[in-house]
Amino acid sequence: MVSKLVISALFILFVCNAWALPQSIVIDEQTVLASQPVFGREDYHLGALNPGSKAEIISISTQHEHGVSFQVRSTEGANRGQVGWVYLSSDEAKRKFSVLDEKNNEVSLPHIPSPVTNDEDDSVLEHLGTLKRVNNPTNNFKRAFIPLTKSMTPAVDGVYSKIPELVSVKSDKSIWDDFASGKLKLDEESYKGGNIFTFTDESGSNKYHAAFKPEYLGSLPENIQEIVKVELDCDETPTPSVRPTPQVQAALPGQRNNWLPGCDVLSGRISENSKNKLDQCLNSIKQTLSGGKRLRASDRTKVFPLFYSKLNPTEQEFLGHIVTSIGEAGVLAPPIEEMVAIMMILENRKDYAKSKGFSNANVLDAALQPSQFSMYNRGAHHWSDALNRENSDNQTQHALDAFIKLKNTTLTPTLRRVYHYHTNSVHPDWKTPSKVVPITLNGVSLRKSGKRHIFYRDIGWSFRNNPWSNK
Amino acid sequence: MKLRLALLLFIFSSSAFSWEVVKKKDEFYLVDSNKKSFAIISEGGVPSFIKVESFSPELNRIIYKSGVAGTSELKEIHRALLVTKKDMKVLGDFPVSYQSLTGNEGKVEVKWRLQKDRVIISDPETETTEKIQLR
Repeated sequence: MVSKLVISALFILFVCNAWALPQSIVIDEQTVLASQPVFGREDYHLGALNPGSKAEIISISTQHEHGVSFQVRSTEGANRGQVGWVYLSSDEAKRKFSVLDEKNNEVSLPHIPSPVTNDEDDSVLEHLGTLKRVNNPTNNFKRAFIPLTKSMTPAVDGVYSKIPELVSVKSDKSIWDDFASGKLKLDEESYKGGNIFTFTDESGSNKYHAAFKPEYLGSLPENIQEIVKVELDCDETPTPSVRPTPQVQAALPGQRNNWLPGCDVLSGRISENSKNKLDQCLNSIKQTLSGGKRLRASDRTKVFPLFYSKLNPTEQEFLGHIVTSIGEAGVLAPPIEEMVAIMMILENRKDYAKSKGFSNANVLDAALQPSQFSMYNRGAHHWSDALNRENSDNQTQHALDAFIKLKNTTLTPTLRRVYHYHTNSVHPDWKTPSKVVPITLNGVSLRKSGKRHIFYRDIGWSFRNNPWSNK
Repeated sequence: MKLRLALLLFIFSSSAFSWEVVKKKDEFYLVDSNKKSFAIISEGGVPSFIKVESFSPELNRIIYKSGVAGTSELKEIHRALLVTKKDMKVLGDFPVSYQSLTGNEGKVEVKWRLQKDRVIISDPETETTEKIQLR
C-alpha cells in the first residue's frame, strides 16, 4: 500500500514537472536585454526590462557555464514586441526575474551558487553556436531545462527555439569560416575601424559581426588577407565599440502567395519597368481599404487596423512609403527627392527598430508610431487625402516615382543615421544646428529656402509599436 | 510648525531633484538617488524628470517629459511610469498629456482611472484604452 502511494506520488510529481515548462518570465529587478546571449559587454545591450515587465520565452541557450539564457519577446508595455536575450543565473541570489509556467505559476528551479564573470561571457562569445560548451560540465541547474529544450526545435548547437528563424547566433570563428568558404560576403561599406568586421549573407538581409583573430588569417583568400592586414595596421588598438545586432529576418506570414493584384511586383527588383504594376498594386490596396468609398480623417481607428489585417507585410511597407511621402512632402515635389527623403527616414527608423530587437518592425510601423509623423495625428486629414487621390494625380505619380528611386538609391552611412525632420515653420527643443544634415540624393539637393524640411541625425528617440498593429 | 513645514519642503524638494536621466547606448533611464533605475521612452530629444505623485494608496506615478514629437505639428509629451509603492515594480509606461506647441489644440490630458482591481488609461490622442490588471 505504501509503495503504491509512493509510486503515485512520484507519478504525480513527474506529470507536474512535465507540465511545468517555463513559458514566460516576470522581471523582479531591472534586467539587461541583449542582442546575443552575451551579457558582459555593453556592445550587445539593446536596453533593459523594467521590474514588473513580462515576456514570453522563445528560445533557450544552454551554452553558459553556470546559468542559461532565454530569448524573450516582451508581451506588454512600451517594449511590447521587442525581442532579446536575458540571463538566468544558477545562483538564486543573482537572478533578476522569475520563470513562470503556462498557468503563470512560478517554476521552482535548482539553486547552485556560482560566480558569473565577464570572462565567462567572453568564452561564450567565442564558442557561440558550437558544441564546445554544450556538453561541458552539465549541472542540475542546466539539467532542469532539458524538458524545455526537448519541447523546442534545435536552432544552432546548444540553442533551442520555438521560432528558429529568430535565432541568428554564430561564433566568430564560424562567421570567418563561412566568409572563407564564400557563404558570407564582407560588408566593406559598414567597416568603422577596429577588429570587428561585418558580413552579409547572399540575400543581404542578415548581417553578422565578428571579431578578427590572427589564426583566422590563413583561411582567407589572399586579397582579403591584404584588406584585413591593412585595416588592422591602421588601428593599433582594436577595441570594438559598436557591434550592431544581426538583422533578424522574422517570419512574415502571408508574404508569399498572397498578393493583391499587381503587388507581386514588390517581391522582385523594382525598376522603371515596375511602374505600371506598382500603379495597379496601389489601386488594389486603396480598393481593399476603402471599398471604393471616400475615407475621412475620422475613420482613423477603423482604417489603421485594416492596414495590418488586409495587407501582407510587404504591401504594408509599400503603402507606408506612398501615403507618408504624399502626406508629408507631396506639395514639395518636384523634385521627387523630397519624397525619397521621407521614405529614407522611414527605412532608417525601421532599421533602427530592428537593431533594437523589434525584429518584425516595418516601414508602416515606423510611420504610424503615435505623434511622430504629424499627418497621422488625430484629426489630421493628410493620410485620408493621400488614399482618396486618383492614381493619375501628380502627387501620387511622384510618390510612385520616388518609391522606384528609393529602391535604386544607395545611402551613405551619415544619411542612414537621419531619423528626424520637421518643417521649417516649427521649432522643437531638440533642434541643434550641429545635427542638421543637408540632404543630397542621387546628386539632387533638397530645398534650401522657402517652405521646406530640415533633417537631423542622432536625435534621441525610442521606437515602440503602434496600438493598431497588434504586434 | 514653521520648522516642520520647512523640513517637509526640504524633503520634498530633495526627493524631487534626486532623480536624473541617464543615457546609455541610445537608451534613456530615470535613476534615483539609490541608483534604482527605470528604462523610459524618448518621443524626441532627451527626456527629463518632472515629479513623483501618488496615484493611489499602493501606486505612484513617476512623471517625466518624454520629449517633443512631430514633423509639422509639435507635441510635448509627458508620460508616467506606474509603479508600486511597496517594491517599485513597474506596471507600465503610459502617456499623461500631449501639449500642442504649434496648433490650437492646447493640452490633451490622458484619463487615468482607478477601478477596484485595475487601472484604465484612455488616450484621446490615439483613441485607445489600456487596462492594467493590478497584481
